[in-house]
Formats: sequence, C-alpha cells, structure tokens
Amino acid sequence: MIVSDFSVDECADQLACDGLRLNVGPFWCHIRSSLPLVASHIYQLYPDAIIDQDRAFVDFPIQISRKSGMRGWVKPLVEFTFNGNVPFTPLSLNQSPALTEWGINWCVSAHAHQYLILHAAAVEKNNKAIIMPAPSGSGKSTLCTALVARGWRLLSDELTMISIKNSMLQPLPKPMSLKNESIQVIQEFWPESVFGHVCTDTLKGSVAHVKPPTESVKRSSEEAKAAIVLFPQYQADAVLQLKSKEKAYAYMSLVENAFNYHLLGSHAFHALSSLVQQSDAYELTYSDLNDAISQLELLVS
Amino acid sequence: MTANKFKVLCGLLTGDCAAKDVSLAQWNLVVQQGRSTHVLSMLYYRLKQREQLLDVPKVVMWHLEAASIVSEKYLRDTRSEIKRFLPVFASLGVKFTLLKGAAYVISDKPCAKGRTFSDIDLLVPKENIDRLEAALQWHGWASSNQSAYDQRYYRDWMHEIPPLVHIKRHTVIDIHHTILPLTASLKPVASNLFAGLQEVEDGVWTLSDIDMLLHSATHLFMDTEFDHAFRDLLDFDGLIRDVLTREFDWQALLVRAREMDLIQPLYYALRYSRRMFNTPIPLDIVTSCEQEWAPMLTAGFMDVLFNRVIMPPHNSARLAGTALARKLLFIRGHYLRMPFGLLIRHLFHKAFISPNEKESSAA
Repeated sequence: MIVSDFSVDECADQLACDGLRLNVGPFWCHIRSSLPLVASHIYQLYPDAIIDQDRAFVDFPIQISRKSGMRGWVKPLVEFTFNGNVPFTPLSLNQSPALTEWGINWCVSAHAHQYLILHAAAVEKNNKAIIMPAPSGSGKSTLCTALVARGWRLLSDELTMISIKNSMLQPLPKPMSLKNESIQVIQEFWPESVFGHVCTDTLKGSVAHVKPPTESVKRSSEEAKAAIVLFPQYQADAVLQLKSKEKAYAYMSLVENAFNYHLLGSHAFHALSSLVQQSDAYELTYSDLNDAISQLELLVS
Repeated sequence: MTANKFKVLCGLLTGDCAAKDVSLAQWNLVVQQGRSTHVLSMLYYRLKQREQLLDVPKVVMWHLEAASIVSEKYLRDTRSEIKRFLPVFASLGVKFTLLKGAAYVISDKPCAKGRTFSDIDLLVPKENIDRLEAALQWHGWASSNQSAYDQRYYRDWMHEIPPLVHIKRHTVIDIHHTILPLTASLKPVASNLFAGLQEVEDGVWTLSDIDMLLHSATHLFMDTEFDHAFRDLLDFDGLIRDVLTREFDWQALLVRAREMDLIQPLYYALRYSRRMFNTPIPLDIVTSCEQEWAPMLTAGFMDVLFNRVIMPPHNSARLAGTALARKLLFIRGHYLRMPFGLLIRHLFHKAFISPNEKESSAA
C-alpha cells in the first residue's frame, strides 16, 4: 500500500503509535512522531511512497518529537532522533517538516557509503541524466523543480547518489526543497504543484517542500546514467549562455560538493572518474527558467 | 547478563551464532545495536572471515559494507600518520609505541579488523615527553587549547598530557606515559610496561600481549565514561581469544596483574567478558582473582551498575536506572583516579572556576 491509501488521521495514528515504515528511494525509514505537522507533511508530500507495516528490517529508525524540559513551555522545540541518538540541535516546532527532511538527508549522507554522495540535484530525460552540483543559492533547486514541472524525472533534489560499483545514479526522489524567493517563483511557474508547510526563520531562511511527481517516485528503483554535469548560475537579466567546461573542472567541482569523497578513497576516485568520462560538462547562466529548460531539452534530445 | 536482548549481536561477533540462523527482525536489532556500539565494521570482517557474508540478507548487507568502508578510511589515515611520526621518533631515539585501538589494528590482531577509533594513543617514557612535544610542534602538532588549570591537571596528576591536535589535518593524538592517573589508588609501575614492549612492524611497538590485555581491562573498568564500554569489552574478549590461539599461561596473566597492581580491573574484565561474550576463560582464574580482590560493595551491586553501562547505548537494551548507573560509575571512576581531597578540589574548580575563566577569556 501507499501513504495516500490512508486518511490523514490514519496516517497520523500510525506515526504516533507503531510508527510508519516508509520507502524512500532505496531505503526504508521507520518514522515515529506524534506531531501533527510531521503527519501532515508526510501525508501531503509522500502520498505515493510505499508503506509496509509488516516489514521486519528497516534502514533508518527515526523519531521526531517534542523536546522535554521546561523550556518547551515558552518555546516548544522539536528534536530528531536516529537510532537513539540526537545528531543535531533541536529546532522550533514550526520547523518540524524541514527537520524531518534534513534528518532523513543526514541519515543517508552519514551512512550510505555504498554510494558516493554529492550535494547536487539530478534529473533525467530520454535516458540522459543531468547532475547539477552547486553551492546553496545558485538556483539549483529552482531549476531542478522547474525541469520536473516540465516532465523531467526527478532523481534527487539534494543528494545525488552514485553507485561505487557501476557509477549509475540511484534515485532518491524526496520532496524538493525551495528557499525564500524561489518558493514564489515556483508557485507561479508551476501552479499545480503541491507545497508543504512553509518553515520560516530557519538557518536557510524560509523553506518549503514540493511533492515529487508520482511517476518519479514509482520509478525510484530505476537507476539512471549520467550524461551531463551542469553548473547552473541564476543571474537577473542575464542573456542565456551555455559554456562548455573541461572534464577536470567538472571532476574537481564534484569532489568539492561530495559528502564522502575522502572517506571512500579509491572507491570514489574510480566511480567519479568513469562518471566524468562518460559526461559532458557545461556552465549555464540564465535569468529565465523557460529559456534554460529549452536549452537543456536540446542537450538531451 | 540481562543479555538476551543483544544475544544475537554478541553471538554473531564471537561466532556462537551463524548468520544463516538470524531472522530479519533479529538483523534489524543487530544493525541498530551494532551501529550504536560502533562494531558494525568489525562484524563485517568477522563474518567475512567465517565466510558467512553470503548468508547476510541483501537488505542488511549495505549497512555492513558501508561500515567497512568507513573503517578502511580509519586504517588509511592511521597508516599515513604513522609514516609521518616515525622519523620524528627515530630522530629522538624514542620508541614509537601505540596503545588501544590503533595498537590492535596496526598489529593486525584478527579481532580488531574493522575496529575504528577517534584518537591515536601513544605511550612514551615520561622523561621523553617534553622533548617529543617540542619536536612534534615543528611538524604541526599543538596542544589543544586548554586553560592553565587543565594543563596542570593533565601534567601533574594524569597519565597523559593534553591531547595534541594537528593544525592542518585535525588528527588528535593522546600521549600517555603510563596507563593510570598518577594520583590513582592503584599504582602500576610505568617502567614495567616499557620492558615488555614488542615490535609489531618496522619501528612500530605495542605493549606485550599480556600488558595489552591488562591495559584493555584497566582502560575500561577504571574510567569515568562508558560510552564505548561494549566495544572495549569486545576488545578484551578478542584479545583473550587471540592469545589462546597460541600457548598461553593463565597464571602468567595473574602474576603480571599482581605485579602491576591491576587485579581489580582484570577481575571485572574477566567476569563481564565471560558473561557477555562467553569468552573461554577458565572459571578458576576468575575465582582466584575474586579471592584476591572482591569489590567493597557487593559484586551483585556492581553487576547492577556495569550491566547498565556495558549494554549498547540503545533503546532496545535500555534498563531502568541506566542514567543513574552512569552517574554512580562516573563518581566511582573519579574516586579511583584521585584521592578524596584532591578530587574535591578538582570538582570545585571545574564547577565554579572553569566556567568563569571561559567567560572572561571569551569576553
């Protein structure tokens, strides 16, 4: 069954009682939480995720709960617990959806070392995947979401996972995370999109998540082959410009954006080398999302 | 021990339990407990050695493989640090001697394959420490930022100097000159340790097998913190099993423990390793330790405390009173480390003076 087979109340009950065993990409999360905000986040943004309440083995046991203590009376805090440990500082109650997403991302990036994990978005069309590594604020998530709005398959918005065995990209189609102005940009660009709760005043400003398309979630066990490494750069009023980049530059930039390159050692070196060998690299400066998308459609046609 | 909650993890680690006999639900617990006790990578190598990796269900396997990749990184980093240390030690004529995790791993103990550790622990004769510290500074190692009080605490009273941190690589080394604080009630003689050192590879030394066992027990049962107690006890179990593959004289262990004033920690290590991991330790050895040293409070009471802290720090095995047991053992550890008067003085300083010092230095 999938999340949307439940009613929102049933979903909340399961989360609060036994926990929800939820499939996310190649992983199974066992999420417990009695917070209504977490329940509605999962109900709205993971409707297509497979649930298996009889599943005996889960990868990530997770709990999102009110932090106990007197401070909670003044300003309620929420903490993320993984396997009995609390890996980061608690956030305010209103930010619990963001905490859930960041928490799951942390579970993956801190443990799943069978993949080389990049801080990058990845989308696919015509069997050609584009990896977009980029520092926060370069418009990577906005462009990624816009491409997905136009029918590209979402592989991942935040964590690109490269198998160290064959350099293929393993999808992790979690909700796409948008910040500040890009929230409105996407709401206008993609009116049918489903947005979750807007978490204000986080470290990154306002954060909201967008539901990934059903099709992308259904195909999450289908690996994709990287064809392009793209460095997007949003610049107001810029004329669209696509510049070819050297492979060495692409390699080093991917290393800079990797979570576990040094940890994986030669595994990472080999996986990344063959990925860069098989891909072209470009820098794309754009101001208009439609122009950028037409350009990228051409590249994968 | 209250053990059945993590019997499977222990059994898989020691070989009492075969991977093919473990259900998925049990694997679920094994992976969670193994992660919180930092033994997943050790489990990977032990199953590999017993040719049981094929019996591990596919959904479980990545957890073990990923953990083994992390442990490869530890080994790589340690090796490259050792390469940098060796010329410095050679130029001073000081033996490069590893302790604890790094020692087990570098001396290729089968039980330590996949063992991870956060710091590299070294043993150096006290009279060489100043020269060594000065030399290491030229290679980028600096004392971690400590207050004047902390410097004194370490240098006058402890068995190690404040940790040295490399300014670029941020690696941490702990340099010890003996294995218990100078102020501790038990008084092992450091010079005894140096006499028995063994060279495990070119220029790299460790304690003798027996001293390694005693140190493993001492480090675990005389300490104030028990975050890694399960893994430390697993080390002890592995070291025992390792010496038993060769000719081993149990009496020699007791003689050495007496000589080093370490019967007490040895007693606890033997007792709990046997109960937790079924370590093949003859009962009469435990009994003769017990006759020479029995706890002031009853063994039953100490069991209540140690059972709680040796358990994996994981919800599945949490017993009521775990937090209290940790606190009591924290106090016990301090009491064993320092005479009462000095302890009061130390705790007073930590509670009332150190916080103010931090504030004034921050201002």
